[in-house]
Amino acid sequence: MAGKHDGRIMTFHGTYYVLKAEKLLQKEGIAVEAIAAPRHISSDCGICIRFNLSDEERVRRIIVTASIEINGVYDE
Amino acid sequence: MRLKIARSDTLWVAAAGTFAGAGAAVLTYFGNPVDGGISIACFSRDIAGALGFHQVIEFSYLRPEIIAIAFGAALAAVVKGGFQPAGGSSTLLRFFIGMICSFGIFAFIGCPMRVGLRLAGGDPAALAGIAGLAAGIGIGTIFLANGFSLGKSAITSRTNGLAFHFFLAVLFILLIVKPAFITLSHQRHAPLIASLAAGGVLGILGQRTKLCFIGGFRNAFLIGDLTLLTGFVFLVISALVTNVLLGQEHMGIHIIGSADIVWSFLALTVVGLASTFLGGCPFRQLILAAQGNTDSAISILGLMAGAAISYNYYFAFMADSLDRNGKMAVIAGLLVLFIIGVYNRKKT
Repeated sequence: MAGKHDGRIMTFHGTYYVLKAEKLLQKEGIAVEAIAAPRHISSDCGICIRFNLSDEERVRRIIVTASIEINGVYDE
Repeated sequence: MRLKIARSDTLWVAAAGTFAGAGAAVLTYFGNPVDGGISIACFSRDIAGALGFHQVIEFSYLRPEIIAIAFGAALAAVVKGGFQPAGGSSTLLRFFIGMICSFGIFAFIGCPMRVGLRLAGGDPAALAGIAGLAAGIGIGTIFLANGFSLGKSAITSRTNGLAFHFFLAVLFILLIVKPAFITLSHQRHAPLIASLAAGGVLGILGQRTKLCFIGGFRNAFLIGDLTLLTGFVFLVISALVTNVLLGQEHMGIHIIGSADIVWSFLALTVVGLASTFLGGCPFRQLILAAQGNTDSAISILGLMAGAAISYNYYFAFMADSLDRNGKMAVIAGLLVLFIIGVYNRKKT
């Protein structure tokens, strides 16, 4: 999983989309996990996904292709 | 499911939970209700009573803790850049869900925070309440995982975001001026300065840590994340320790609210499910409202309306029993929540 300095956080507009994104990305072999949104990040539903910075482009492509709206992407 | 915890955030959440528990116990020592030194729902009920929306004088007071928590959270949000007026996510539905949440809360006498405080005080009935709360949140997470959503909110004007603060500021002026049309019980309240100080600090901590007594269980059930749950655990531990130190522990003896296992369980199932649909416990709703979220402000007003109805229509636990009306309100509330849950799922 992402180390302290290379992790990225992605938020969505609801729990369902966080879980859907996590499942989709795991299916594509990307190291991802759903976590409670860190204190410094605002999330509508209180949870988000965390993945490695090096996977960001792939993650964005997969999420957009699945027509899931991204709320925000942040450093961990 | 792998269990996880964010260490740095957990320390802050635990600190906030510790302050909430100890602060509530100290306010009880100074005069606030037993096992409810701070309770967002019960204090909202007291505000509803003070404004004349129900007629139980004992539960009528303009609780300064609510005002102080909100302004403490607003201050923290403004300083840290988190003040963001937003709203428009199923606003009317949230009002009614908040109202139903109140039916459960007052059938038992305890919002999620007060359930923890009742347990910390030594009330064995709180165990049935916590089991019901967990069951309600568990059912709620099943709805969430299957697409339940009240829809996304949109950025709104600053006037909208500040309307709730204006309402609270008026309440504070009324508390100070004490006009004849406001009902203020002279029983069971701590000195104003203590209430303001404890509430203000708790508001700041709540805003900075996202402390939520529903979110903790939800995240644990949904994704195995225990970070927020530490807030509830530390609330109970710190209130228990403070109660012992202040000599107000009553281990094994039930003092307030319902002690009926089945109805305590069912009432808190309603609270757990309703709060999961709203996205957080009444405390979290108050913090979000203070940050400018009008949907959360409406949820708090729904709680207040529900509290007034509970006492006007005998839904609430009163005179050592829960009337048939209260039992019907709990069952009807549960059914309505299921209908809301089924009909608010995303199809994609």
